[in-house]
Amino acid sequence: MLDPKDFNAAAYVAAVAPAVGLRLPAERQARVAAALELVVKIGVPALSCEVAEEIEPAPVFNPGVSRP
Amino acid sequence: MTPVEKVQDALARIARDDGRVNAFTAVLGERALERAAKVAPDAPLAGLTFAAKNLFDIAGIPTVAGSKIRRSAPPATRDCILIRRLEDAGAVCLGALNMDEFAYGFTTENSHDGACHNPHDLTRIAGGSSGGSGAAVAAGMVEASLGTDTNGSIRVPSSLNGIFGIKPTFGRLPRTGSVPFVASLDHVGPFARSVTQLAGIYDVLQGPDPADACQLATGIDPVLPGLEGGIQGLNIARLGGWFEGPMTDAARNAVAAVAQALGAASTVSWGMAEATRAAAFLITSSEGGGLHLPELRAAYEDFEPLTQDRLLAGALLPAAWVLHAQRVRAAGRDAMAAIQREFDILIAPATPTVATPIGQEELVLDGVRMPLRPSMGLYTQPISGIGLPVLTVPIQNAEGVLPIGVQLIGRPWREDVLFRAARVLEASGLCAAPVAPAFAAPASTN
Repeated sequence: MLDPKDFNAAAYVAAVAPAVGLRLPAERQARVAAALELVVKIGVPALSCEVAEEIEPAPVFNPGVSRP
Repeated sequence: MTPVEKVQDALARIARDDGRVNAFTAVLGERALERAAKVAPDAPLAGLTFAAKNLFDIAGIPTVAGSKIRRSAPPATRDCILIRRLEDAGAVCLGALNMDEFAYGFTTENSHDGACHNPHDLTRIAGGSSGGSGAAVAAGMVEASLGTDTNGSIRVPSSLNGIFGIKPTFGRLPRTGSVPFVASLDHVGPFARSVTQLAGIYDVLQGPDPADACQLATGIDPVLPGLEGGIQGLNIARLGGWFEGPMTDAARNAVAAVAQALGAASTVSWGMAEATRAAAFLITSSEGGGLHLPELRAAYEDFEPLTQDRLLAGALLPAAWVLHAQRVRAAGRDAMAAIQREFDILIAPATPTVATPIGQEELVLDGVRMPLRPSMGLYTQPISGIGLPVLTVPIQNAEGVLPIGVQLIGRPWREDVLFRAARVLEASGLCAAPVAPAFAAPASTN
């Protein structure tokens, strides 16, 4: 799913941060990119893990208690 | 001692010792004495002294969650449900405890409140994120404490401070009245210095709470009545593979000792451990960053310097990565369920090392250099990632004066089996949690 070598963290942070309303100066962008690279490094075993189509996401939304 | 005398003793200890440990961020002496005076003598936890990680609501003070930005929040109007349950059972809350900001960390090197110091060696970390919860109990300032565990934040402080701690099954205990970190992974639970005391506390904490939409438990499964049930008939194994990765001899020897004491002859491997740990890491990054995105937009400089960049990076993670991580987590759970059909308890290290010096940035284990802060959770994060119950048992003097913990991992909802095994280990003398020697003297003698 992801080869870390293909992931340009600096470019990604520069592009995505404004999209979620984060205005980060260049120096901060570089630090966030470094943090993101660590996330990717540790996350790769999950991102490269193939899972069967029928495996559903783990969280279960609870619609609340039924009150007849 | 009467409950009032116990509270007076605890307050004297806090006054004498917390200047060195920095476990407390708020001490509520007046409240504690008032409540102690009203404790019924036959209450199940009559006079038990405890304190709570400062992300739990305590009426009258802001719930700061280790942060700067919540210090100006209005005081909580009522205690969180777990504190109410403990005090309804006769326990007395002494105050709020130091932690990593917003529970994001394994070291409790909090820049706003100062680092929490390990009572076994004050130059070392108390672990985190519930570091104050571990240190306050290990130093004997309180008998028990409350903490939370998203990726290891009960088990790491249990290990590094040498005390017992239970991270129950995900969804067992209600989280109502606590500041969340990662809703998909947050657990709450207690610490104590004896298995019997931990069991009594855990039983009082149980019970459904309609206000918690994430709580899954619908009843109470008490562990205290069967505590002396022993381990005969239980199938127990060591977790191999990922859980035999980089670690110190202290960690390795502790696991071996516990395995031998419990008769765990075989080793099993959970092939999804690394992927599940990675999934938990991604989910944590994303949910943690996303939760605080409004405040990050307004003033990210006000966050803990150690986590500013991690939170900002987490808030940017692609949704596809996080959704995939949630599916990996489910696959990891299913793979573990196949193993647990055969085994009642699995044994694994809690931390790869004993407590490290405050300020240390890296670990070198078995020749592998790694960042210290995320690596403290190497062996806890995969297990909380799939929500299994874990009771951490302490081995004292594992490396010099420093203790280390071992995880007893159970099937979902079978905390009772873990308590029985922990009690066997305690009765054998292998596992114990005395007050750290430097703090053992009665308060009145100093």
